[in-house]
Amino acid sequence: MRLKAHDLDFSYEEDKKVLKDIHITAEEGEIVALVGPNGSGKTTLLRCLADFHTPEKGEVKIDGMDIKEYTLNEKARKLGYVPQIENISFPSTVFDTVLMGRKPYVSWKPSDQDRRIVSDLLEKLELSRFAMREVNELSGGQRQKVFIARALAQKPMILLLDEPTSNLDLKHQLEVLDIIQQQKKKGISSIIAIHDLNLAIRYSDRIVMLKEGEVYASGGMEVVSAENIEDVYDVEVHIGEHQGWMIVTPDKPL
Amino acid sequence: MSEEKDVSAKYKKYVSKKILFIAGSSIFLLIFLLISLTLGPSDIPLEGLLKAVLGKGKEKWIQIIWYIRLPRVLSAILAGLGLSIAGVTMQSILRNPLGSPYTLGVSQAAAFGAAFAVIVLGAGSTQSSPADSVILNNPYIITISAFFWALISTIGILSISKLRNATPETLVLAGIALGSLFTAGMTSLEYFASDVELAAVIFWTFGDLGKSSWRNFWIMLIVITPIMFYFVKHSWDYNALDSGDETAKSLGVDVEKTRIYSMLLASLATAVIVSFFGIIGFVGLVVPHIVRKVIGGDERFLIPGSAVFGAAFLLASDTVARTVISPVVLPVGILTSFLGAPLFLYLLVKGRSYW
Repeated sequence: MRLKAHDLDFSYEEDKKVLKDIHITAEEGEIVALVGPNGSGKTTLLRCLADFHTPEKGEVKIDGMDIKEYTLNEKARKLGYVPQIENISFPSTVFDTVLMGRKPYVSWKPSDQDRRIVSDLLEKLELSRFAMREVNELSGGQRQKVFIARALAQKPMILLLDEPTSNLDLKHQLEVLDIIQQQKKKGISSIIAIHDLNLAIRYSDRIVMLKEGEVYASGGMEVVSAENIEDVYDVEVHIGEHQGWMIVTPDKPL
Repeated sequence: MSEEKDVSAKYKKYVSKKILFIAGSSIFLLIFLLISLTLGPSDIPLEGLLKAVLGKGKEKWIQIIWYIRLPRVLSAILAGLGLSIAGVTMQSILRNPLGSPYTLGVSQAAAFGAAFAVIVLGAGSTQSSPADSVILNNPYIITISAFFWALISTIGILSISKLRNATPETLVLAGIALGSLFTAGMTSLEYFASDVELAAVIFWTFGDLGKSSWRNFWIMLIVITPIMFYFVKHSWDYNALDSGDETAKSLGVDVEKTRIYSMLLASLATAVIVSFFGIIGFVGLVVPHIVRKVIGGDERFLIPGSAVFGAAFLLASDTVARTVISPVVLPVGILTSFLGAPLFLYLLVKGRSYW
């Protein structure tokens, strides 16, 4: 088991539990989609898994070891995290941004190998021509790819992505998820918080549905059933099929 | 493959430009150093200067160079360097383009602390000549008091930055409030000061390198050198912080620790400089922005670049300040404000992607 978290409880303020008894796992090369309405705890859960928050109860294990036992650099070599919004105070170039992903391996001066890893990644993600541009001059989709490239430069075993496709146009949504899917063959597991149920169905191996800080359902595509969605989202939906893919079509709010 | 090589090559070229800027600024700094040593009430030619540095030639010139100009010029370099790296670091760790020892109220707090030491703790004695009305007989107490009060201001800023809804604007406003508070504190201390103490205390309100001495220089050197090393060593952490706390954490940065240590060290550097020379405004704010504009935001180069450029900036300012209407020597703080404020306005209007 690559990542295993059990019995997680977390709250920002006393008596207001944001996460309750969460169990979540990710196998090697598995993509797990975290779905659920706004405020259901997706981001908080990802933050707990990334060890930004310490859960009040339960533990997060990576490769069988408690995440707290890793040093900061060891952890950064295991886990890549892509936040939903990157709050840049001083922008840097695309190359420098991706090079930062090598930080867990570098003390002060990046080596030729680090630079090679970065230029390889930029090429693979079709970002080479932006290499010397500043990140905030790019479009949202390109920027998201840069941040994923940075996480990949960490050579992680697990990627945690917080709504990587929100605010992206259709093409970039698919591109970004394709990149994540391509990492499967390297054995990289991904946990993705995602709003679009159809994309979740299409790109993930397993779906974990959250409701009010609890795992409401978890498993394969059968999790995305009309009853579950009605119960969790308060929305009436129609589930159909198109070219072998399940399709969720929202009808009306309940 | 060719494209990939191309990118690597482009990046190398981009980096070598930054190194070139730092090297170029260093050469300028050296030239400024020589020029400013030759300038003063008695002009010393370059040849005479070189002899005097080696202890040869006219006795008078040796005296002027070794006892007056060298300590002052070297102090200007160190003070400019220290304020600039303090500014760069504060901007990065507080994620705020308006961060600097001056705008965050740390300088004012240090000046208040120095005045507090003189007036309340009695660190100044008055038995001296009329030319230098107060001898500060215990510079250590003054520096320690300056650091203590700078620390209070720093802790204030740090605690405000931890509030969940603190924005960059909140911090700057807090800095203004703290700055005014300590300026008011200083003014009220002045009410209780004797005439001679007052003369000494006024000195801290506008930076002046007139009190430079070899002892001050060595203290600054001992304090600022390790701080500079710490900042340079952590420049990757600052780079990561520029992309946000979460990103920095995910890259293995101990965000809390880095922020607190860096802020404390920046305040210590500021306090030492202010306790010797008073408030020298705008250096710590403007220098990082100028350098960032030229070589970009990569802190690995921005910190050393600001150090060298800041040193040259303050040295040039001080040289102008003491020669422009010679024999009157202007306080360098007036000049840095006259230069710094319009420069800063220019940067504001010209606009930058991070405003």
